[in-house]
Amino acid sequence: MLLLRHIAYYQAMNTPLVALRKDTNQGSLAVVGMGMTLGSHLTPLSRSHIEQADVIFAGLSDNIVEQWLERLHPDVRSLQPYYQEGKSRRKTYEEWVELMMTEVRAGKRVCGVFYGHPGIFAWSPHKVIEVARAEGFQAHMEPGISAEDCLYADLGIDPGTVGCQHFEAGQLLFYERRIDPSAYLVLWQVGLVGDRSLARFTTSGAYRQVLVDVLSKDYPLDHEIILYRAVTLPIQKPRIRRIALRDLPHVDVPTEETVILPPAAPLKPNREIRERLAALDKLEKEASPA
Amino acid sequence: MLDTIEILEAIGSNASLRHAPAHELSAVLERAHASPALTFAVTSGDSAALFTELGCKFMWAPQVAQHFG
Repeated sequence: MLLLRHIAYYQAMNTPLVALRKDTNQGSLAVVGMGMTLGSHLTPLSRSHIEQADVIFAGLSDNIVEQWLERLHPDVRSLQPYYQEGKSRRKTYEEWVELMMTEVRAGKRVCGVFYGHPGIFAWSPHKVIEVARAEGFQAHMEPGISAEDCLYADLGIDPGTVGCQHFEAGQLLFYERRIDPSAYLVLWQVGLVGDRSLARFTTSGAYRQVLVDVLSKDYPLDHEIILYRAVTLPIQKPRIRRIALRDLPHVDVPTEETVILPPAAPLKPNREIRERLAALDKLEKEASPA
Repeated sequence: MLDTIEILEAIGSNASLRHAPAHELSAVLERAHASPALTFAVTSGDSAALFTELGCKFMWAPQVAQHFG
């Protein structure tokens, strides 16, 4: 009897799980991240979403990665052709949402595949999920390994040590933001900083000079900054350049590169709050039974 | 025989290969009969010929500038 129970358990543990059949007329949406590096970062769950979908929409940054995705599914539709120099990216992103929703409404299982993490610096993935849910369709996002994740690994930065602020670089120009120079500062999309048209894919050094002028209120001009690019192919090395802040307008900064400013000031102890916490500690110690 | 994309996937998912020195990786590629462009990309660090071999077209960096305000 005991042996039979063991066999039944063994058989149960070795039987592949099979999902229940669903109403195939009901469209659905999964938005997944491809990660940054071909072959290294695609999670098993995201891969399964790709394999089980009826149609794939691809928003990737590397053509070889897109070709790899085409090996995983017979119907991969690239979102790249909707970009055009001089065309507002807002219009492009709205078109992407409509493309995906058209197939969801047609009853297809749609998978949007975006490079890195699909929810970071990504308007369309969040929007299409919002639209799909509002129309009553099942929709969700699966995280992916982002450029930010690679940055911490490749540069040996732990955001927990002194904190880490992240900004889309243009926000430092368009708005009055508070920078904490005792933390790491990570600036995304410096290559097109200051573009207000949404129709350009790069801006000149003169725009980066404005950024340097803003940053110089909190950092010395000779402060060493890092320009970083994660790898998309597993045979590449990350691109890491270290320059002085003042030289940022004079170097080429592709849109896929990220600028990191290490701390320029030590953490400043908050004496008042520390004293308050010490008083609390004392009170709790006195109140606790001996 | 694996083609270039299959070899890249194999390298990307193999702990021994992903961070192997270029000379070790090129020896592995030679045994796998990898294309000259892929081997050159590994030894030189220049992937341009690899993109040419695979007929790659220019890609915009997607999702840049989400600020619409």
